[in-house]
Amino acid sequence: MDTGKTVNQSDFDLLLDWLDKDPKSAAEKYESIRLRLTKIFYARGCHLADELTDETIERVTKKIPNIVDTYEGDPAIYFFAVGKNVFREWTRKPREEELPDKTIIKESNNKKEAELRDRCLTKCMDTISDKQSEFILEYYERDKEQKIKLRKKMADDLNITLEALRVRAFRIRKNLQKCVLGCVANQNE
Amino acid sequence: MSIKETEKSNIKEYLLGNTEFINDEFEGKLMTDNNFFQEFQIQEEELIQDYADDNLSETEKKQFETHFLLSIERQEKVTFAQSLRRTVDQQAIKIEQKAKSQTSEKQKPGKFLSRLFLSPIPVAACLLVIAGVSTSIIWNNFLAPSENEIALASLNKAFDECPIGSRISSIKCTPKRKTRGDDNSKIDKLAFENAELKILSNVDKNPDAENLHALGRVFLAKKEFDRAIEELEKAEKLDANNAQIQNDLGVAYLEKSKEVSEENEDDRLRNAETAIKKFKEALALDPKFIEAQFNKSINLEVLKSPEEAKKEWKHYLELDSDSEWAIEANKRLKELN
Repeated sequence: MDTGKTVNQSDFDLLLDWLDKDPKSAAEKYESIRLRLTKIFYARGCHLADELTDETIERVTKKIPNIVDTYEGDPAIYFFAVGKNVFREWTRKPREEELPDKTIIKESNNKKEAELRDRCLTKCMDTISDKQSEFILEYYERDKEQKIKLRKKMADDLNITLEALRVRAFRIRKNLQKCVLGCVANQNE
Repeated sequence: MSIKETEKSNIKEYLLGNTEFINDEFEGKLMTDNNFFQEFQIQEEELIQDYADDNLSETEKKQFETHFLLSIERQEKVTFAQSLRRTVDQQAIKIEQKAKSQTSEKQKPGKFLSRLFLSPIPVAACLLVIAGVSTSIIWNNFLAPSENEIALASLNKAFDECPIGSRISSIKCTPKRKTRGDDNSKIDKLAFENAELKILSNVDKNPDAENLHALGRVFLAKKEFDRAIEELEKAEKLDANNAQIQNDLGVAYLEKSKEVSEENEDDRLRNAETAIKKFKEALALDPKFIEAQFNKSINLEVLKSPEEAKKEWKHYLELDSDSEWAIEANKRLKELN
């Protein structure tokens, strides 16, 4: 990997400024690009996606002074182009690293761990509104046929499309996941 | 931009490791198209839940285990999905058991019923008659939608995007987008006209608070705010402690204040101040009335009280953190900051 000069705060500030003049929007765009790159690397079969993303961002940051005045178009595409090169180099390296061994999945079969997660989920369900927790319990109905009918009914009752229903479920689920992760980490400390 | 069905199925293939989709077009879209990326994230979660629920085919399961579970984060998501499945299933069992125990309680006959079963009168015939009459009474009085509810459902069908920036009670629509030039909000004109006719006919037959309120909503949607105020004030006289009527009156005054030109600052302020009184009244009657909370926050912006507006937007987000209205609230809060 590149062993040139390291990125400092002013380089990083320049990067953010390139993404957007407004600091808050710039930070959001940065996080969004970071997330998307990581997901693409994972989807391409790379288990070191976070490292590759860091490398990509570092390379782009170093290039900013050279491109800031001339580059036209969505910066995300530039990140993607650099990311492809980083990925190509990674595929050519000998694979010394071991793949993660699905340890967490094995542990999930452990009764104690499962009970802890369930307790945390129950706790987290109490932190969201009654409407949201009812929504989640209905949305994730097990029976396939029932599920389809129920979701259609839920969408009709809320007067939204099935698509909007999916998005709503996704958002509540994301919040619950974050909460459960935090709860499990606290319990394990 | 809506996503085609083929694109949606391609996302699943990509997640399971099909290299056909490792190309600039597909992945470039992931980088730049927010809707597409959101769909990707949703499908990721759905795939994880399907795996946890054992709803994947054998091939998909293998692909999932060899290709998808590369990161600790994804593995943790699987454990979350497993936990969610257990929790949902347990709740379903509890609800079923509760329903069964309630039914068996109801089946225990009292002394009177026991004597009835001993009488020579054909019990079955008696019960049939009672059942028929009861069902009719229950249906007509409690379960059948009222004329007003039918009309309101019709009114809701007319809108995808809201016709005005403030939130009218019981009208489910998405936040109005700011556009330059002509108003582009899409209205199903036929559905709206049907709703209007129904509501006018209901008011004719019975000018009670509910029907007058419905008419007020129609005028709000038509942006005829003076007429809306007229009908809503009539409704208010008949039902003073109705939070929704208060909210909708507030909406009428608030929208009126926005229409007033900047030269008539006094008029603008007067309408905005009347509006906020109404929203406060609505919230006093129902503190979790999210539409009124949303409207109150906008109202404070109109009254040029940014600090108070920020406070109220934050309060709104405590009540509603995940709807499209919450996104709108977040946007407004950011703009104020």
